[in-house]
Amino acid sequence: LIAGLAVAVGEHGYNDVTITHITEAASVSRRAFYEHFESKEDCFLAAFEVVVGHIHQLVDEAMEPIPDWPHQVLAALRAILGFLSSEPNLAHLCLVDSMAAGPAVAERFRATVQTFIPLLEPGRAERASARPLPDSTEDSLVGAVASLLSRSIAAGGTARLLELLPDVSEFVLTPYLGPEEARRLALEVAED
Amino acid sequence: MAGSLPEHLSSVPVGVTQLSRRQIAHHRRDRVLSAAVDVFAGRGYRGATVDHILVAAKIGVGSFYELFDNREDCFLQTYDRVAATGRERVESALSVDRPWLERICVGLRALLASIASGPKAARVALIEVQTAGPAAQARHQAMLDSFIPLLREGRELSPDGASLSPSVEPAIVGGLAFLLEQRISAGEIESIEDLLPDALEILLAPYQREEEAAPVERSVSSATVSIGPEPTPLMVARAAVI
Repeated sequence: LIAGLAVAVGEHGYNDVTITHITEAASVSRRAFYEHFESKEDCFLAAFEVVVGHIHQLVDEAMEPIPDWPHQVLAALRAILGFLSSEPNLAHLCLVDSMAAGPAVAERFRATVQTFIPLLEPGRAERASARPLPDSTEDSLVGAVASLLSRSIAAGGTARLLELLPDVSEFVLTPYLGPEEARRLALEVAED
Repeated sequence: MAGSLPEHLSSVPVGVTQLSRRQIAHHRRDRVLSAAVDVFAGRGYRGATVDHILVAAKIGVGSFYELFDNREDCFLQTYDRVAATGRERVESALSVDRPWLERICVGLRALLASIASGPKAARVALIEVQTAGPAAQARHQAMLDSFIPLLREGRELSPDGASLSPSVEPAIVGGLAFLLEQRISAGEIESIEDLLPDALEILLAPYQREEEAAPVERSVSSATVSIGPEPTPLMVARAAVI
């Protein structure tokens, strides 16, 4: 049903998609739909949770074998962008349609974006400077990454999403490592 | 006095009633848009109906459809008015002939002040606009993008300006918009001006080097030798603002 939702929303847009579209795309009965979900929004929230859970799992797996924080972040970003580019419908659903799907979903979207903050916080210990970063640094960074991805997916789908990886990596690492080191790592990413 | 004016500038009696009727329509549209801000902010775009707006604006359904095609059109016109008011405040702050950094400071300060002084308008312009359909989303994106050229001027002050990726400015705008959305959706609007120091530092980070960071390495890098104390004015001005 979640795959069905993604396909149906991809075709019709969230506002116009009906439960019939979803059940047809998923080849299940309406009754089956209502056994699982109360409404379109409920189904959307469930889909969102599943996708985000999956992304977190991919991120954990990607980071696990890596000892140093900067490369952990690079691996995490690669995992996220890689997954989204391999799942264009889900990527559109989570990063573009979620904004339009009403206040409950938009609220969940913002909360979900914030679940990536703990990945960045260890970066504070990497800073050479004694001057602390603003408290909102991580919030603005995860917000910045989400908006870059949304913008790119809304404009041109996911085919070229991975091309953003060096830019995104550099932007995220700069406050912690400084522009030169962040640039060096971004170039390393671009070469892979 | 009127007699001394060229003919096309003197008042034409025939147009008087026409003009006043137009003025009345304009005034009514204004009143409806003010009411619509309250309705869209209070109930959300999805929860707001044409009926809610009729009641709040004290107009009939016929008058509503004289002014707007439908609810979405009413939202778009409401958004445009709110966004224009916010823009004017920011732009009048920006129009002063000052160095880039100072313009960024006063512009950001004006933006936050504008949000704090109109919590409902801010909700419409930054939160509800995202749920109000593709046309509204496109306007929101265009509004955010309109800040990119101003930010890009910061590259001229930055030792790394020429080599910064084109994603930097969209990322800054997206990150700051996210901070504002968080505050507004949590209802923390009155205190939003407290964000100024953080927002400023986040905005400037890509354009300035951390002076204190790794000073030894820095002095051997040929790129930095020529810069001299370039970031210092940024730091000084930032300190002054904070």
